[in-house]
Amino acid sequence: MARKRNVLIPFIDSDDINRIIDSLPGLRTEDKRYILLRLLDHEQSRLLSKRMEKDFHLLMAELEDDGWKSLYFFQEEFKSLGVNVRIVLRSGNILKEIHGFLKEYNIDMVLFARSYKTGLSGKIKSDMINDMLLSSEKMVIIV
Amino acid sequence: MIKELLKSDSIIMELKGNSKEAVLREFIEYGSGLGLISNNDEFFNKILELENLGSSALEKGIAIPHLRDNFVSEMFLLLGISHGGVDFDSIDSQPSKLIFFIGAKKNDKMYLPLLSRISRMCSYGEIRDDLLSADSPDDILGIISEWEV
Repeated sequence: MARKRNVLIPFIDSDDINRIIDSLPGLRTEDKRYILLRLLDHEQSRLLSKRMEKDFHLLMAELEDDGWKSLYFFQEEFKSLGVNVRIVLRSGNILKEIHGFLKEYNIDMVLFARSYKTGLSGKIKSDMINDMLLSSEKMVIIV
Repeated sequence: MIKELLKSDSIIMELKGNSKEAVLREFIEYGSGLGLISNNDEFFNKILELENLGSSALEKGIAIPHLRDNFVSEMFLLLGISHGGVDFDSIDSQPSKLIFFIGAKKNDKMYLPLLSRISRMCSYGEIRDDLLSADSPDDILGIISEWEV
């Protein structure tokens, strides 16, 4: 039996995954195994902690809890559509984390939702997509 | 949150099963013995079906098989340790050694926060090592209580 192809879906906000779920019926999913990778950016979190006057580590703990919750929520959504999915959370420098993940695991393609956000989170997301398009040897798909 | 659900009698210090299916059966039988699960076969079939749609294994030797369904009467949490590890088809190919097993009602609001809390707790290497080297269920409860504070 042919190996299932590993599709990495890195995301920094839940709207991205909703957009990807909407596009799943149009994608061939039977021969693929999806990996939802929730990324938390430390730089963005530091700015947020300053703005909120909240301890950085406390804020990270809350963000990680929320990140895992969203991962489990979306894992249920994918499974209810019969789509094979695994979940991973990483925090740090987003670009380093994605590249590290691609090196560590056998990923065949990277799937992104189109970016419509502005502001810092929009910039982080655009940088992430541009970096993948320009530097990754993996196939990159944007839906 | 974890310490409120996990009791000393809901911890299996050494799982006997050496495959995913055997371990799931072992948890279900153990939970049934505690009066937490009544429909063993239905529970097994549903949780295995979910596992086949995407492993509940995380990285670094953790697995959290879980099921939310109407036939579960109330939320429960079991923890089983397998020092030899069990193949849960994890993304990093590491065998799962710390296995948390969760059942909940379909609309239980604490289900996602509990999964999230366990996942975050187990992302710390120190906690994983401490849980794996604990000598008794009370030691485990102590480690978790301390972390949750």
